Amino acid sequence: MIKPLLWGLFFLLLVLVLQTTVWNVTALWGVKADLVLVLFFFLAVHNNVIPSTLLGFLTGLSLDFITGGTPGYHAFIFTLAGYVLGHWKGKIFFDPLAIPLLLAGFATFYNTIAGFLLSAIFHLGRTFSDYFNFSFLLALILNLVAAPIIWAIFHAIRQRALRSRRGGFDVEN
Amino acid sequence: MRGHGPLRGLVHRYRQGLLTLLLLAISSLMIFFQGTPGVAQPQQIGLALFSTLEGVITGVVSGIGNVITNWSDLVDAKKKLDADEAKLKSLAGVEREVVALKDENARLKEQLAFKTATPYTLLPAQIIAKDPSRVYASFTINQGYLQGVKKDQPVIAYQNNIYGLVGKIQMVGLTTSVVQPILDGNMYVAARFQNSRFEGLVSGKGSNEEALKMSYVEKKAAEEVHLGDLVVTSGLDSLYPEGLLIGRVHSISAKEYETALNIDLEPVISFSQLEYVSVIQRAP
Repeated sequence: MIKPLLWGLFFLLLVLVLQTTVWNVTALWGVKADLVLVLFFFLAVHNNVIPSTLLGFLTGLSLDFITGGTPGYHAFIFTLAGYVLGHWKGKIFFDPLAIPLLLAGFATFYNTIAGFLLSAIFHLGRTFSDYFNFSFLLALILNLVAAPIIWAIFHAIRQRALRSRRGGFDVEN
Repeated sequence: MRGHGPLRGLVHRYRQGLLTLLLLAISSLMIFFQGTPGVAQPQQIGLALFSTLEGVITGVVSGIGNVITNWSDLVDAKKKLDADEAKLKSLAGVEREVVALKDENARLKEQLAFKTATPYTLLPAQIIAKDPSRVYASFTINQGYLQGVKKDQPVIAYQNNIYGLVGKIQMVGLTTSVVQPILDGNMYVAARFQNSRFEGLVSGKGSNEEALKMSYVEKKAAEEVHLGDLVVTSGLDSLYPEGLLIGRVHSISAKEYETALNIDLEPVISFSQLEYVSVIQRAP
């Protein structure tokens, strides 16, 4: 359980730092593809419930550190997603295009809706229009464009890790 | 579950759900107790770690960019050498360098002129990272506690020969800080119209939209406020010095049943082009 968790966390943190620095050049009207979100969904759906949930919590916490926003906000959203996605392990057959697109679309909708609900429950001062606006549509499109590429890279690394039998993301917990 | 008590068996059976509930409870508590010193501290430690890494990556990427540029220049030079045009090539290289230096010089002059033109004690800073999420619009600068940055200090920038309000310091790390821009929906700035002097409250309209709204402006101001009018800080909130430019009036509307005007502003600062900012450390 520890190995896939650590590997997953390593890749997610790497992507997170890249997303806040070099990835800014790809922003359209200030919106960029959410690489961390999409990659997390791919990782979580390939792991069991406990590593996925822990991975979600740690990734969310890291996002909370880096955003300067409400502490616990991303941790809550990603933990819940990790728990749900962990139950889907082995139940989804991944093709190179359709499933990554569906999962990225679902991830974008989930992140927005969960964020809005959390903001409403905890009175975080965010309104409906802060979540559901032009940026949301643009983020959805960018995530859909990025999803097959992220999937291809993730799949290649995962296959290599599985072949070497020294790690990877599919180790049973 | 041989040798285990019934409670332990129960915990083992529902461990996934219990772990999730525990982590969700921790997250909820963090949200609930946001802003209290005990909770803010780990976030600041995390910020210090991540922003150091971000600073390194920004530096490395910039370095790689320079190497690639230099490498391509060298390849060009080699080709020209082969063509026996060494002198011409050298001149072209010098010219490029001069142009780059001129650009840099102009930028630095602009910053210097800005620093001497304002009555504030300023700390120049570079933006090293931007928020990864869509909901928050904060960004990280390369100045922190060690350079004297404090929470809630105003942040301004100089663009197109004018200086305008960017936001305020939201969180201070050791060598970096997070800036909450005025575009953020949770930012409120006491403001007034530069000409008509009517007062109001400026806030962001969302994370990535470069637009602001001004609320609580009396309806009688409608006759004196015009499109393009400048809005400045009023200084009444004691956070921002008086007279800092915020934006220009973009649209004015009023509903019959409301007592105040709805005014949309266009910020004077183009946030998507922002590279350098200045932290006001002391106002006159």
